[in-house]
Amino acid sequence: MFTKQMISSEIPMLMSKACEIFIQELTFRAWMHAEKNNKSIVQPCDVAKVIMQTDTMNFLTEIIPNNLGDFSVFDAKEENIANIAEENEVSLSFTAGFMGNPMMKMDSEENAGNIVEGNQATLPYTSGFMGNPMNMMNMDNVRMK
Amino acid sequence: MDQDVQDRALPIANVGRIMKQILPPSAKISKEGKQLMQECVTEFISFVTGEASDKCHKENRKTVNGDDICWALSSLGFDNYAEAIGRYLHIYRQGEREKINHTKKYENPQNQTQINRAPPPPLLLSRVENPPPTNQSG
Repeated sequence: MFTKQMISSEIPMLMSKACEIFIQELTFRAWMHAEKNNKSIVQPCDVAKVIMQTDTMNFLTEIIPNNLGDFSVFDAKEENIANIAEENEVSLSFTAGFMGNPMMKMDSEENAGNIVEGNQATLPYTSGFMGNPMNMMNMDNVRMK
Repeated sequence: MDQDVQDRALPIANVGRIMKQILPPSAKISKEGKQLMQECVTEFISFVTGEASDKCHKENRKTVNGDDICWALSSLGFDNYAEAIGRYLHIYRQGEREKINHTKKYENPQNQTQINRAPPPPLLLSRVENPPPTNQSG
């Protein structure tokens, strides 16, 4: 239906820079979620929570797997059945640690409630984040814009 | 991963490398985290270019240019991105003009080599500086 459209030579360069900024912002916010839960590995559930809580990322809600609200494994192809088994073991170990920690459970339930209710309010970030109050202020400024 | 699906996404190694740049050295990224980010950024490209393409179509233009991308980012809520990309585009165009002048001046075929004259604006500094909003709507 659309007639053929062309792109300027600037577009690939601009889009690559925009994608770089996008990846780093999303990764940074996901890392803050992971750190809030005392984890040092960025998981798909961290990325999913950031997408749920950020208005500008609403266009990504469709491609988040449905079962990612829990500590579930990212859906993989049939070819990765063996990997699925291994990931399930890893997921179980996370679950074990999760069940053994009431504070984590409370946090998880709170987050789940926010996600289910569609609450757009951003969760308060850890006050000791990165040990640098300036970063905290800057992030608040960025989010306020 | 299916080869056809893989061809439509950005390379996962490059995505992982960009993710690591923003994280402290102690942080790790799971393989599934990289895959999800890969899909997210692919969707981001389609989202932004689709908006820019619609604008060009409405204005009966055939070529999508950099200003359309900046406009699309701003209209979709990525105002910070639009500012950073606008400055980046300005620097890039300056570099292009300098390259053209340089080529005309010396008429040396070796100068045709593509040189990256646009230093990328630092991510955190662009947030700290809070520059005045540049109107990029073309």
